[in-house]
Amino acid sequence: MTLRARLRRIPLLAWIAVPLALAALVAWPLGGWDTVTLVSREVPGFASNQTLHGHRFDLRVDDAWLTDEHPAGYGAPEDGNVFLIVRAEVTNVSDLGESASALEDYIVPPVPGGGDFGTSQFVLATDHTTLPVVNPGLPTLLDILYEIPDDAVAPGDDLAIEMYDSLPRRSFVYSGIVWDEFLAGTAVRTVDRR
Amino acid sequence: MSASTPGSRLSRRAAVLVGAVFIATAIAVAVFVPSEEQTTAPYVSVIPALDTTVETREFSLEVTRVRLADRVQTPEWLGDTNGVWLVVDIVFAPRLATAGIDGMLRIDDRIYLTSRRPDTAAVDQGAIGDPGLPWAGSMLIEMPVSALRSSGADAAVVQFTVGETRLDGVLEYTIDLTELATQDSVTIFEPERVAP
Repeated sequence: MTLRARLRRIPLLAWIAVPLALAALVAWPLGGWDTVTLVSREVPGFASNQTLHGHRFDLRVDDAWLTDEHPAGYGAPEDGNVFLIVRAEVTNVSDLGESASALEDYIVPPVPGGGDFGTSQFVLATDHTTLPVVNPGLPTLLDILYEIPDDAVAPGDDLAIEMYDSLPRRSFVYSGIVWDEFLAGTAVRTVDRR
Repeated sequence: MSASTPGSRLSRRAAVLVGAVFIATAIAVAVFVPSEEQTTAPYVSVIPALDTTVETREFSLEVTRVRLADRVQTPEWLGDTNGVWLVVDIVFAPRLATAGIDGMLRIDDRIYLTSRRPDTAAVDQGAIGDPGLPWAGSMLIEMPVSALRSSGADAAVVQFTVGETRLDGVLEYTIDLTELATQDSVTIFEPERVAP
């Protein structure tokens, strides 16, 4: 019997079922398939009274300003620099309390012309605690501080602050969960100097 | 082309059987081999009651009082919250090396971390103990009021740890948050040495 004849003898159902079973066997240890439906390619804008409801954090960007005064009373910025402060209310909607440093990639003021301002500091707006804890379900008002060059942003500029959401994924490298962030909104705030 | 012989049919069956065994083995390995969390889990000891000292390899600890409060204050700081504070008073002593205590609250699967807001008195911030020299202080946890009515609030667990917990001892104390009255204000003080 030729190979072609042998292949013809395989029932149609087997042609469908076997590849599906093999694909399922491959997908199973990788966590299965996850499909999404594209809703829109537009990144939505969020006003200061609007909250981005995310999978890990709910974010509301209230305000942004330039200042030489550190909100926690620490030293002034280096010569030629200024503090950009973004005030945001954050609610941890996951089950795991976090240090505020977990928010580093979730509220990102972009540098005009490309890139972002990098490492930030987190200060609790109410009592100026640095790097506070963000516990589940407790809205927390934060001043997020970036030290930026004096000429990077000017008073009166509209700054399109990026807001990110994320989805959990089991880590293959170490135990636990990692969060994959994605851009989910922008908050355009007019920066002033205080 | 010759027809297949009984011998070749047998070898095909054997190949299918071997393949099936390999797949079954792979599935068994994936299902039954303990995860990293399981193989490095800490040794958990339970603090059975207030004023009872329990030891791990690295530290000993006693829970002396548990309170809920709308506001916590120290002589230098006022801790308002739009949630509620859990204040856990403890006596802690490291046993092997200089160390500080840390902890968290677990309600069902939700984890609340100890607060870093007070500068002076929180256990997480305030005192580093030396072996055999106990001190008394307060651990603060800030959480939403809704947590007090949530599933598992009647068996909330405060976990106490020193540094790395993998394959080392941790202590747990269970609290019925639904039975605790919430005070308007609680004043706490800096950690202080107490008699061993």
